Amino acid sequence: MIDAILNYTFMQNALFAALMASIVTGIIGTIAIEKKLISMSGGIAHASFGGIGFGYLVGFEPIWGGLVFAIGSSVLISKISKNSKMKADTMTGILWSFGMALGILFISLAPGYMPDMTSYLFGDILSVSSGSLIYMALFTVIILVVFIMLFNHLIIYLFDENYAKARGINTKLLEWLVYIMIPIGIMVLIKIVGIILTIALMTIPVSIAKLLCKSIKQVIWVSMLLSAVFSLAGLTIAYYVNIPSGVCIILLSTVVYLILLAVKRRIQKRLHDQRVHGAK
Amino acid sequence: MTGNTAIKFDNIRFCYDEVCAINNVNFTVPIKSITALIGPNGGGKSTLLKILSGLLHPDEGEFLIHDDFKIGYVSQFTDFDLSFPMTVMEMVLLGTLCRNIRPFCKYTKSQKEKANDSLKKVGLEGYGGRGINQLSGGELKRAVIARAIASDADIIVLDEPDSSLDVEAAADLYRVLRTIKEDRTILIASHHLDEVLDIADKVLYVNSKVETYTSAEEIKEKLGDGIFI
Repeated sequence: MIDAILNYTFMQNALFAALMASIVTGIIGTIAIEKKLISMSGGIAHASFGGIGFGYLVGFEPIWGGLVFAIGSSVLISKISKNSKMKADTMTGILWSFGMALGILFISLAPGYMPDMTSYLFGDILSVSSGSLIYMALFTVIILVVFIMLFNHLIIYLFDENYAKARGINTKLLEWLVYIMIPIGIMVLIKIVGIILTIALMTIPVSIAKLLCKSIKQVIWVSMLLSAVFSLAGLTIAYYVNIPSGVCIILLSTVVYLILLAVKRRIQKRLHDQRVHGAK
Repeated sequence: MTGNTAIKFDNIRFCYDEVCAINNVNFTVPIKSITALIGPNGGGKSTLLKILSGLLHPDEGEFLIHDDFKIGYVSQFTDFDLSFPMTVMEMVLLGTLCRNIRPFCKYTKSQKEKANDSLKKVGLEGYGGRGINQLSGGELKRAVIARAIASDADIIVLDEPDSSLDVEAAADLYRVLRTIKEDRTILIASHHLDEVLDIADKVLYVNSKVETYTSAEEIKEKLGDGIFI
């Protein structure tokens, strides 16, 4: 494995991609979970397929089309749910399937054989090109810089938006930033685990970190670390066994989450029993 | 606005779609006083406090606040998710966060000291490192008040802070309010008349409009004489 990383460019690309995805997971996953935007994120990821298909049809890098569709969907969900009686959840559902349908339509209209879209749907960390690495790095840096610069303001917005408003903090600006950062982050993760499994990578490492930590900074660091471990483990499995990397990453992280959840419940029950018996 | 008046409501009206929660509301609140807002559910107490906190904008009328006075808002229900990974200290520090969004707005040593002092004032010294989900309901309410104190708020607005608290926790909460009333203007909405009348200077009875606005002593006398307000 180490030989492969040293000798093959595709393995080096995969390693860098995994590390960038870990940074994005820690930040965007935490934001989406704490602001309860996970289902919206799923909708955005699927809606981006429309843009990816459009890229194929017109002949430009599909990921840029995906990004435009993802940001457009995010802004639309936010605007419509705020300014009409339609719930964000309903709008998410509509854009979710609309984007997928549009993507399939565009791809089927493209001349020649229909391309293999499995890497966009299920991710393929081993097929990350040097070109893809550049835009992934660009997106990761944007997210990282904005998050570090505005950390405390983003936290007050995520934690208690009403209090932030009452304090006179511009929550509208923070909302805009969040609704643009999420689709940008999703475009990084799509290359690793694909459109269908993106929500899992955004959710599971952060959920595991929340079982272990009590401060938001710790959650972000631990989820980045976990995401890196899962991505590298997925990469290793995908290298030796010929199955999609996204599938390995998600199955592995889900199993770890379920085990830790069971262990934590058991510990809490034991502590509770000790307190009850101690009091008697 | 200057002088001895902290807040002035002038002919305020606010409607949720077709239903007007408050209409033609006029009153002034003196500096460094405690005003209790009482009245039936749906009478407009929370709406008034939300307008004062800037969360709602009145359809008509205006409210004035004493020059440079800052407001600390303690909401009726806990607005935040208790599963949010946050320590008590981190939550109180949010009260000291700069209002203008600018890069790298970090907490200074003096802000951390202020947060510690606020925790001391509400009887939560040593609780800073705990997760907010490890606090009882009463402790959490006091931590939220500590956040308002840490924000250097001159006016503290509390919307039914004693709801869902047991007798002992509510008594602790009122003890804290008594200790901070010396140098702040406090508005508190509550259904617990006995406790709130004990600390209030003035009482505002709201039922869509101001029905009564008088001293707490007068209300106590009326209640003592068996007169329903």
